[in-house]
Amino acid sequence: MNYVKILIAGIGAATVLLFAQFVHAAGTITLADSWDIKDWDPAIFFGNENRKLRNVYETLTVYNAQTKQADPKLATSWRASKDGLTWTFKLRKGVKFHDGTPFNATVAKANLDRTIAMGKGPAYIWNAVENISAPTADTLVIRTKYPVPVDMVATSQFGAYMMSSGAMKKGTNWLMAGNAVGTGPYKLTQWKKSQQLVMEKFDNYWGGWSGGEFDRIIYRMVVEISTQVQMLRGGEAALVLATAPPDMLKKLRKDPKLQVSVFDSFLSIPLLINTQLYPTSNKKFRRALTYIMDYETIARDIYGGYGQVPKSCVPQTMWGAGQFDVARQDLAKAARLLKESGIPKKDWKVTYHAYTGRQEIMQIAEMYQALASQLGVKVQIKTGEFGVLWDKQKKLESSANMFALLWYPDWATPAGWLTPLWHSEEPVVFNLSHYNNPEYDRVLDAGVKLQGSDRKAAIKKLREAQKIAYDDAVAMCLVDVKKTVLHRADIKGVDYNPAYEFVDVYKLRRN
Amino acid sequence: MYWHIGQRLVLMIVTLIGVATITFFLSRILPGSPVEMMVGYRATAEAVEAAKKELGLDKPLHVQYVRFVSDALRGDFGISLQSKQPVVEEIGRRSLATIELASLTTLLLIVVGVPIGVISAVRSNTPVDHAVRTLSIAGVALPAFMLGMLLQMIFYGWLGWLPLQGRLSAEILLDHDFARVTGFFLVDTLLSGDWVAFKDAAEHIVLPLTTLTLVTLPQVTRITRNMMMEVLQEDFVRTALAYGIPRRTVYYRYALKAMLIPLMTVIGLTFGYLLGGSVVVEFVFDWPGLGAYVARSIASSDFPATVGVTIVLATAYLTVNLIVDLLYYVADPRLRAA
Repeated sequence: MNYVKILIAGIGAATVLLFAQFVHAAGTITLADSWDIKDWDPAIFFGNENRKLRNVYETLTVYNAQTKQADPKLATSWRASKDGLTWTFKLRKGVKFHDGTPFNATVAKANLDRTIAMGKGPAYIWNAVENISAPTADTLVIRTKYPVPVDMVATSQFGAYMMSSGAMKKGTNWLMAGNAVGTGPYKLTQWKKSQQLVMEKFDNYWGGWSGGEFDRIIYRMVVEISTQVQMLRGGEAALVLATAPPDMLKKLRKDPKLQVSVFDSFLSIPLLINTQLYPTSNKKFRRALTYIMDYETIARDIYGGYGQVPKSCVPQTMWGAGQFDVARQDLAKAARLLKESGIPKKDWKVTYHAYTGRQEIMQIAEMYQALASQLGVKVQIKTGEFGVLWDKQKKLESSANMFALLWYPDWATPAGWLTPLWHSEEPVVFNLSHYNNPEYDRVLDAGVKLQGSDRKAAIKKLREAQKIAYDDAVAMCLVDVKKTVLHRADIKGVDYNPAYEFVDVYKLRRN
Repeated sequence: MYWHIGQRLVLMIVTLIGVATITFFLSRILPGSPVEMMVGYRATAEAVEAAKKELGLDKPLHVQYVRFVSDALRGDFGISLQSKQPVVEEIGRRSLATIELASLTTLLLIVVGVPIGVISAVRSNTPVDHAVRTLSIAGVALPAFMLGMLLQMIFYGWLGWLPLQGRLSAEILLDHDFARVTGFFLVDTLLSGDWVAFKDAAEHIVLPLTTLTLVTLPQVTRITRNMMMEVLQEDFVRTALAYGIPRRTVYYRYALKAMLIPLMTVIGLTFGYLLGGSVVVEFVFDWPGLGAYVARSIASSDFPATVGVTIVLATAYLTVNLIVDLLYYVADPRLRAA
C-alpha cells in the first residue's frame, strides 16, 4: 500500500507542476497545416509547398482575379510584339534577395533557364519558350516558338519563382536541406522536419512594412484536421491551411471566436466519363447518365453551401469559361435517353472510381449510386487511394466508366482543364475519359495559340472546344467549389486569390 | 546456451531476408503510382518516365531486387517518395520518438500494471478485483483514438493544462537549441540542463503516454492476475505462508518470481507491438514516430519508406524477442544449467 500511495502522490505532484501556458510572442502568427515541405527547389515543387513558400518567393507577375489579367510584381510592365512571339518585361529596381544580392534580369533569366533545363514538375509551362535574354539589368526578353500569354504564364503558382543566384549555384541538394532564398516579405529561419517551419520578416522587403504586419510566421505540421481545429479553438493557432470538411465548418461557424472566410476559387470537380469503355462508349448512354446526378444537392448539402452548380466544367471564375445548359437532374429525361441509347437493360452497369481522402468525393458517388438504381442502372463504386485508382484509370483495360477528381489549373487559363483532361494523349496521364476527338483537339489547339495575341478570339475558340466536349458528354460538371479559410475571428485581412493555393500572411493583421 | 543464441541469430537473419523479399515484391506488384507521387500528380508523361529511370523502375524486377539488396546491406533504403528525405534518416529520427514513448509506456506497465494485477489476484472476487476487471474490459473496449481525443478535450480544450500535440512547443523549438544526444527529448533536455525544455517535453509526452498506457494496461493487468492466481495455488506459496513469511514478501518476492518468465514474454511482446503499433496515438497527438510514418507510407505507395520501415520494425521486433529469450537465462538459473 505504501508503494501505491507514493505512486499516486508522485503522479499528482507531477501533474500539478506541469501546467501548459500558451503565450503568443507579440507579432507572431501560428498557422496549422497538414503537409510538410517535400520539394524545396522552386524549379521542382509542384504540390502543397506553395502554401508556405509563396511567402518567401515571388514571381514576375501575379494574377488579378477581378480583371482576370496579370498584374505587376517583380516585373513592373511588359509588352508583346505584334506577332505575340517576343515579350519584353521591365523589371522592378531596388529589389533584394534575402541574402542581400540584387534581383535583376540576369538572375531572372538564370532562374527560367534553370527551370526549363531541369525539365521537372512544372517546367512544362515554359514549353513554348525559344530563348530568354537580358539585354539590360532591368530588361528581360522572352521569345517563344508560338504565341502564348507569357505574362499570364509568369503568374503561375509553380515553376515561375525567382531565387538568388547564390542559391541556384548551391543547387537542389542544398535547397532540399531546408533552404530558401527569395525576394518575398518573409525569409526562412528554421525548419524542424515534420514539426514546424518558421519565417521571419525580411526588413529590406521592396514592398515595405506599414506597421501591423506579423514579424514571424510559425507553420506547425499537424496531420489531423480535428487536431488543427482544436489548436484554433485553444488559441494556439490563428489559421488553419487545410480545408475543413463542410459538415465541420457548419458547426464551427457558430463559434464566435472563429470565422470561416469564403472565396471564389478555381477548384472544380469534373466527373469524367469513359468514352471508350462499354457501355459509356455510347454517347446517348453517357448523356443519360448526366441527367441522373443531383447537382443541387452536391452544392447545397454535400458542400454545405460552399459549392455552386456549374455552368461548364471550367469554373465561372475563370476567364473564357463557357456557359451551357449543363444537365440538371431530370430522371424522366435520363430514362428516355437510356432507352434510346440502344444499350440492353442487362448492360446498364457502370463502374465508378471514387478515391479516399476527400469525403465529398465518396458522398457524391454514394448519392449517384442510389439515384441511378432508381432507373435500373447499377453503379459499382470502387474505392482506393488516389494514386492507385489513377494508375488503373490511365489504362483502358483496368479503367472504370467514371472517375471524379478535384481539379485546378497551374496558371489561370481555361486550357488548364481542357488540355490535360480531354486533349487526346498517348500515354494517358489525365485524359481519364480516354477522349479522342481530332476536331476537339484542333479547335482547342487553335484557342491555346491565340491566348498570347488575341484573347477575344482565344475565348471564342476555347468556348467552342468546351461545347464540343459538352455535346459529347465526356464529363459531368459536378460543382464549382468555393475556398473556405478557417481562422480566429481577430485575424483580419484574410484574402484568397483563386490562382494560388495560398493565404498571404503579409496582408494579415491581428485585431 | 550459446548454441541456442547462435540458432536464434541465424533464424533472425533468415526471417529478415524473408520479410524484406516479400515486402519488396509486394510493393512492386501492387497497383499504385509511386513515381507520380515523387514528381507530382500533374507531371508530364516525360517527367514520369524520367523519374522511373531515376528510380530504376524501368529495369526488370530481379535487377531491381539485386540493387535493393546491395543498397540495403549498406543501410541505404533510398529516398522517401513523399518527403524526399533519405529513408534511413527519417526512420532514425522517428524511431527515437517512438522508442521514447514505447519505453516509458512499458515502464509504466511494469510499475503500475503488474502491481495492480497482483493485488487483483490476491484480492480475487472482492470489490477491488471486480473494479480492476471491469476497468480492464473498459480499457480494452475503448478505442485508442477516442481515448486520446477525450484526454485532449479535457486536458487541453477544457482545463488548458497540457499541450495538444507534438513533442515540443513552437517556442521551445525556436529558442531552446539543446543538443540531441540520445534523441529522447526528456533525457537530452536534462543532459543539457535545460529545465524549461525538459518541462515542455514532459508536458507533451503526458497525454500520448497516458493514452498508450491505458489501452495496453488491461492486457498486462489481466495476464498478471491470471498467472498470479495460478501461482498462488502452488504448494510452495501455501508452505511459505504457513511458515509465517509476510504476505507481501510471499507475493512479490516468491510468487512474482515464479511467473517472471511468462510476464517478461508479455512485456516484451507489448514493447515490440508499441514500436510499430502506436499508429493511432501518433496520429492523434502528431507524435512524429514510426507508426504514423509507416501508415502514411503504405497509404501513399511510398515503397522505399514502406520497405525500409518494415525491415527496421521486423528487426526491432526480433531483437526484442531475442533479448527477452536471453533474459530468461538471467531470470531462471535452471535454464543456464540446462
